[in-house]
Formats: sequence, C-alpha cells, structure tokens
Amino acid sequence: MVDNPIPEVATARRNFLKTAATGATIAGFAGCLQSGGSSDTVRIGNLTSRSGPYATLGEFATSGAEMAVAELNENGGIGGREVELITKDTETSQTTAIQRTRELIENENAHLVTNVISSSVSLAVSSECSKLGVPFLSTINGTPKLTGADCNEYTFRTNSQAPQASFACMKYLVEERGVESFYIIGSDYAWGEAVREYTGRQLENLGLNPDDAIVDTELVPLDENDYSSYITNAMDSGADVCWSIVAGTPAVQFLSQARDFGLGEEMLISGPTINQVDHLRSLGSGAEGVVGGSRWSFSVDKPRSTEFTQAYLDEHGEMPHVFATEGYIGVHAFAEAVEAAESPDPESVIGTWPGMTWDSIDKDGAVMRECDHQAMVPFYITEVVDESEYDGPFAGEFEAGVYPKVVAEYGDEMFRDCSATGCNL
Amino acid sequence: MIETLLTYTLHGTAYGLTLLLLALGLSLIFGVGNVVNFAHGAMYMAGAYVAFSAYTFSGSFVAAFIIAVLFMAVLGVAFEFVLIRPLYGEPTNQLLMTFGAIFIIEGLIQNVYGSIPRRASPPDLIEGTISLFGTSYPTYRVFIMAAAVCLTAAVWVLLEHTDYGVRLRASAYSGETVSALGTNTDRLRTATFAIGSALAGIAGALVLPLYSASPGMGANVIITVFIVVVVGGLGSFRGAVVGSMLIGYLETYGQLVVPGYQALLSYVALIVVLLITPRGLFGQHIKLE
Repeated sequence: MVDNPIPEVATARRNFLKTAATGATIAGFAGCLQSGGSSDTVRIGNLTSRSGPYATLGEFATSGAEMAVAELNENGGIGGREVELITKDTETSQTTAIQRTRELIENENAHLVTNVISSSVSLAVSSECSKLGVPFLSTINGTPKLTGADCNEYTFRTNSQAPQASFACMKYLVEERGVESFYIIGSDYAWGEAVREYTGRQLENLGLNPDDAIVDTELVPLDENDYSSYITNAMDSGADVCWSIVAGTPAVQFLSQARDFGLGEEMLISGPTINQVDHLRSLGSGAEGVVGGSRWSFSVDKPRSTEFTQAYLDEHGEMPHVFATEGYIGVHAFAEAVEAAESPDPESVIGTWPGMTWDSIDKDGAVMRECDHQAMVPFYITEVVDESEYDGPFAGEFEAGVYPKVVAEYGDEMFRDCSATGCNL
Repeated sequence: MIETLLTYTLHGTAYGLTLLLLALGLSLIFGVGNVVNFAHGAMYMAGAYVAFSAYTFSGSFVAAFIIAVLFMAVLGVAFEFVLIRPLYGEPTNQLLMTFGAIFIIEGLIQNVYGSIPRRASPPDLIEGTISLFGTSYPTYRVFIMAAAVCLTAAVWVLLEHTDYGVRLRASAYSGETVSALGTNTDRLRTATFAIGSALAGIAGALVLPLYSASPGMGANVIITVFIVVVVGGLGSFRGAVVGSMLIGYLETYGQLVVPGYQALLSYVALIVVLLITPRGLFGQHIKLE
C-alpha cells in the first residue's frame, strides 16, 4: 500500500470530491426549493411516534389518517385538491418533534401538523406551530392545557381530554351504579395525576366529599410490573370501585393480575381508558365485568361509525384501536375546514375552523368550539361482556371473544365552560 | 395488620424468587468466565416472547415452556460462541459487547412482535386461588414460587454434587489451573452460558402469564438483578439467594413503610453494601486474568 498516492491521482481525487460535494449541495438546496409538491396539494403532516414505546400507538394513528386521506382522494380530494400525508417520527421526544415540525412546515410546506401521541410532546409542537403560523390539530392528546392555559389560535383539538373522561366515568358510576367509595390506583406520571385530580373535582360536583369517597390513592411507577400489593390493598379497603388510571402495558399487567387475585369479585374495576381493544386482545375473558371510559369503540352503534369500522376491518383485518379512529376523524375534520375556507392556506383555515360544525363519524353537527378550539365530541362508557351477552355491531368478529358493550354516552355537558378553561382566544 | 404483613410476605417471597432465577443465571455466568452479562435481561425477555410464540402455536403452556427453555439454551450457546468467546481476556470489550447485544435482541423483538403486550394463560390446573396460611393467594404465583425453589435446589445440586459443578466452582478461582488439570474450560463456559440463559428463559416463560411480554421488560428488570448480585456477591450461589430475597422483601415491605419510594431502598442497600463490603455479602475475591 503506497503512503502517498502519486500527485496526479491525488489532485484528480480532490477535484472529484469538490465537484461531488458542490453537486450534492446544489441538489440539496434544489430539494428545498422544489419539495412541497404542487401548490394545488393539501399537505398534512403526520407527526407521530414511529419508534420507541409508543411506536404501535403511532402506527394506529397513522393507519387511521392514511385511510382518511385515501378516501378523500378517491372522492376528488378536498375541493378538487389532492391530499398528501407526510409522515415523520417524533421519537416521542420534544426536541426531535420540534425539529420535525420545522421540517414539515419549512421543507415540506405542510398545511397542518397532527397525530402527535404524547401529551407533553404535543404542547411543544403546538407552540412551535403557532410560531410558524401553521395549524396544529390534536387528535389524541388529553392534556387540558392544549386548549386551556396554553391555547393559541393555531391549535385545535378533535378528541376529548382527561377531565371529560373523569367527568363521564364518575357520573356514570355514581348515578347509574350507585357507588360511593373509590380506591385509586394510578400510573405515576402527568396523565395519571391529571385524571386523579379531575376525579376528585368531579366527585365534588356529584355531591360527594372526595376525602370520604376516595378511600386511598396509590401511584404506581410506570415501569412497575407487579401490582400484587396494590391489588391486595384495594381488596382490603372495602371500597366499591377500584378506579384504575392505567393504560397500555400497565393496564394489561394490572388487569391480568387483578383477575388472578379475584379483585373483580370484591369490587367493580373501572378506569378512564381501560377497555381498549389492545388490552382486551391480551386479556380475553380476564377483562369481563370491567366498566370503563372510552372516546370511541367499535361497539358504538351509529351508521358512519360502523361503516368506518367495517372499512378498517376489511383493510387491516383487525378492529381499529381508538387512536386509529381519532386519526381518521381528525383528517376528515380538517378536510371540512379546508373546504369551508375554500383554501388550505393556514390563515384562511384558522379563520373558518373555529365555530364550524361538521358530521363526524359518531356525531351529527359536532361543533369546533370558538372559545378554545375544542371540538364537542361524545364520550362513552363501556362494560366488557362475554360474546353471549353482546348485542352490538360486529358480534362474533372480535378475536378477543369479549366485547366492550356501550352502556352510556355523554356529550357537551362534560366540557368545562369557556370561562373555566383558562384560554383567552 | 398481621394479615397485611402476611400478604406482603407472600408478595415479597414471590418477587424475590423471580429475581433469584435471574440472579442465579447471571452469577453462574460471571463465576465461570468473569463475564458480566448485561444482555441477561434481554435473554429473560426473549424467553418470554419465545414462550408466547410457542404457546400461540401449540396452545399448550407446558409445551411453550419446554420450547422456550431449549431455545434459550441454544441461544446462550450461540451467544457465547459467537460474541463472547473471541473477547475473553478483554473484559471492557466483553462488557460493551453484552451491552450492545441488548439493543440487537430488543430491536429484533420489537420488529417481530411490536409493542403491544403479549400474554399467555397458564393451564387451568394452576389458575384461580389457593388457601395459604389463612389467606387466599393466586395459585399461579404459588406455582412460580415452588418452581423457583425447585430450580434453585437443582442448581445447588449441580454445583455441589456433580463433576461439572466442581470444575465450575474451581474455575471461579482459577480458570488457568482448572484448564491445566485437564478441563476444557471453553466447553465449561459455553455450557454455563447455556444454563444461565436457560434459567433466564425459564424466568421469562414463567412470568409470561403474570407480567406479560413487553418490549421494556428486559431493561426494567436488569438493574434490579444487578443490584441483587452485587449486594449478594457476584459469582456466589449463596449471595444470589440471600441477595434476591433481601431485595425482594426490601422493595415489597418498602411499599408499606415508604410508599412510592420503595425502589430507592434497593439502591440504598447497594450503596451500603458497596461501602462496607464491596465484594457483596458473600462475594469472592475477583480474579482478573
């Protein structure tokens, strides 16, 4: 191996590298100028978790958004404009998400950023979008701050929040099931804390004293696998309900262990988002009898909802997770706003969207409230029943063998008054 | 109060024994080759997922269990042969290798299985609850405790009363001497990796109905297991037993005494032990060759 290549070769190599580098740089800039497609496309930034612990949730949200975009394009697009979905990974990190937001808006000329999974990331993205003058739509994020203290004119939300879940569940349990005492087990992070707080407030509204009604509260570390002591404590407490503020893997672990101990025989197991299809798939009959809140379920018996579920089932071979539905709902809601504004241009959209009504898959005439950009959407209470006791849609088609039967539905009354949100738009 | 203490003692025993299965494997592997196997938690996780797949395939929990154990033993052999053997004598590189292996194993699992938790149900025979000391406790947990005790006893018999065990214990003192006396230390180490990985796989398969298989389970448990073996003493059988039961009870009773901060107690124990007796309660002098 020669130490010093002969001078001519070295020079040639240097020149080649120089040319190549220049070429690449120009191509890079050209990319910046060119990409963004034609000015007649509506570009939606699907900024979601594609890696890390929330990757599967991001997949669900993406599948719903993709389905909505395909449907819109099959029907001539939005006001004749084709719709494009551009997907980027937040890596469930605020810093990465902010960078990707900028990429979507500045490089890809996105007209909307949506489908963020994590509430804390959503706050960062919402703020960034507001700085860059492009609408941000929450399809999934439950933190009240997004349309509360941290609201801005570019941020909109089509999903309901943690307070609504607490409101609806407490109202149902106290008024319909006559329960009076609660043992709370919650995941120890922002969401768990928020739900717990609103639960206490809602019990007050219902005429109970939270200090008496809430027998005890135990916050469980997110990475805890073993719920045995929390379960036995709940069973020893004598409370009517075990209010379990858990989701995802913790929910599956908690419910399966609760069944081992026979918790469901001593008290009613309930939670703000406990009867999701992914939990039920892992648990099967182990989840029977659990009464919980849900923003949507395949068991909701409304025509456009079952139509959507059937289409999703046909395409993906499994029941849609609520995040898929929320992704779908969000894209269609935005499409309506763009049609009404007759332009995807951010300034037109944010002028038209507030106060707009539209027909979502499970609500005719849903309103995008003006004062805080929160859509007034329904919330459901479901009870997990065996197939033989289920008379809703898609009976016999859910591989878990158990079904989240809808037992109650709540509407606009769940939402805080405009004056109570802390938002001043 | 007595009833609560009794219940918590049962919880702590169950937890400690699960830790023990993992600590044993880790300690064995260290004892024979001075390998600190960071990937042990990933092995545990792989065991759970393989058991899940085997269960989905066969419908039988017993079959799933056996398949998982065999698979993990083979994986352990492959792991040692391909990744660890070339690096004996280079402890830092070996450490990094086992650390890197975590990402490979976890990445593969996440690609294949996604992030939804996976569960299997144990056979009906060991479901439900059983009456124990006047309180009713899930039968399956009792089964796990019994299984862990039996396995620990089996490992003890292996170490104390078999030829392999003698050579293994001798290697912990001086691999060179053992080799000079005619033992194929390479094969000894490979066999030990197989046993250690099999133990991790057993632990994973056992907890599948309990904790479910999830992408974070390896990372979750490995720190606690390391605390156990450091407190008990790396390479020591007695240390693994005492360490795991100690940490098990500490974290469980800790929920009664300092709810929300029980994990802190393990770290306190670790710090105290490292300050007072750095090789752990029953640790041997580590010979670096």
